Amino acid sequence: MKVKTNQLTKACLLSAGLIGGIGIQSVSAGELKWNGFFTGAFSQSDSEYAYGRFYEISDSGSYLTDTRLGLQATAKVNDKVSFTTQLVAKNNNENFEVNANWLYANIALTSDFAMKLGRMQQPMYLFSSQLEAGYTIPWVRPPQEVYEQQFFNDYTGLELGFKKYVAGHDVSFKVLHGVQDNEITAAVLGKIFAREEPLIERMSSDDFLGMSLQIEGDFYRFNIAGVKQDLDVGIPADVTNTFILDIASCGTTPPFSAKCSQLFATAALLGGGGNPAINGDFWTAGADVRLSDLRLIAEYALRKVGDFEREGYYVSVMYRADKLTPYLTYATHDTSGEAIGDDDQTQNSIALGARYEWQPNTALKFEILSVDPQDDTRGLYHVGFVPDEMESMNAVTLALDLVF
Amino acid sequence: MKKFQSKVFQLVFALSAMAIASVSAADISVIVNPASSASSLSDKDLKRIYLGKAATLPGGVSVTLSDQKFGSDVRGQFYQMCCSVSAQQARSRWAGILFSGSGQPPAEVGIGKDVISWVASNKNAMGYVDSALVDSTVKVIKVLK
Repeated sequence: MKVKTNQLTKACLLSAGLIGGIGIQSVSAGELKWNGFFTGAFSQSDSEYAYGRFYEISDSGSYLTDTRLGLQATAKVNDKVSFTTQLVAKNNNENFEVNANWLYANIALTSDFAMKLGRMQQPMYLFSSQLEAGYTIPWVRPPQEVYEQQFFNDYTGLELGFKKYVAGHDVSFKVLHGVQDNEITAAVLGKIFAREEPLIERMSSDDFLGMSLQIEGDFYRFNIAGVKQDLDVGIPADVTNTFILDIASCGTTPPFSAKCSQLFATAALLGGGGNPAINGDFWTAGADVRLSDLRLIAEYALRKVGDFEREGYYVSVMYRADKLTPYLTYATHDTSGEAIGDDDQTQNSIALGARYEWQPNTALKFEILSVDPQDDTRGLYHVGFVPDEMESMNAVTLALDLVF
Repeated sequence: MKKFQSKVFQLVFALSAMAIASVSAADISVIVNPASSASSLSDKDLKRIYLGKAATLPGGVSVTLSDQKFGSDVRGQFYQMCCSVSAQQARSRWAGILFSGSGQPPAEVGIGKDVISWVASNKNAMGYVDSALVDSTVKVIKVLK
């Protein structure tokens, strides 16, 4: 949900007015509390092509990739009802936009049951709820092989939550229902519609149903989540009109050119319409285990869109040595089946990094990421016009994360 | 004379070491407002509350948590004694809870007597202080030794 401004400076000024000092202490006005987070980062790779759907890392280097500012306000209406909003300013095509990621009322129905109503995060991953606040996650950024699979970070609707302390475990179960809407960079559609640039499309789901189960003990946390959704891909009318004209120009008598064959295949997949509706399933599982200063995190994700499947997992191990926590992460991603113009995306990656608690509420992070596309595919390179087969890539990121 | 000075030095050193040890091992009292219906708290419940896993005291009693100033000895000792984590680890955990929309971290209200004043003047308040500072304006529900 976009706010009527795209100026990072406005958000900065707003935060400057609200922040009384460093320290994760809420700035209160009556029962209204403000908190915030900021990430400033520089990333550079050895590839001329941008990597990642959300993170456009290339050899030109960029301060925009991970940099963002967030402000969160919580208002306590009464003992049963509170309201939370989170505004996040981050890069979108080299222009900072402020989006209201969250706008929801939290209603305590009983001591065990609660309900959220409004726009909120989709709790699919171990860290999806606090993903924008870099300080709260152990890495520079979460492994893309798993975290890139989520089309929608947020949804608008209802969350019914049940929380109970059972046999030494905190058990949390949530049922989610609502609608979702998001802009996606649909390069594959741009390619099959013979456009020279990736298309910015809208993907939506008006029948989103999900669940999330989390079990937390003294030194571990497990999470399982799943959603079912009907996805609608909105393609601009001028694109579909061009598409229809291109098909018409192919004629009806074989042999057809390669481009015409691709157009026919696309038309078949679209079912004769310009705005395809596809069934989607998305499942995740994760574990976060702490053994004294040693921490092991692993997550798995499986997305099915029509007949197309994306599967990924990662394993990350880290060791806390006072203020320094080095980590090593291995991740892999694979695809199978056929979808509308979607290419196979197979890759492995290794990330070696460290987090340093520099000051209270301020962490410095460093990461070397090595991505290796497999099976003659482009891996998870930015879905722009990159070659179908990509070489391996190495990237370095320096980041400053803080909360206030 | 030199032997005497050496003995005095050793005695002063030993007393200082004992004093430091007694400060670092001071009992910490968990306190609530006298109006609170809570009268005691188990180790498990205290840990769950100060790690953000529980938002109320047993029986559903509302509670508003306080912390001592970050960097204070008492805060570090409290989190080690109650929750087996460092003050920094606890702070990072609360940041995750805050920015996932799951709760608010304890209010940082100062040190020592500041905490007692704050707990005494807020109905649902809860905090922790060096046991030596406790007075009749607050109710002790647990002592960490």
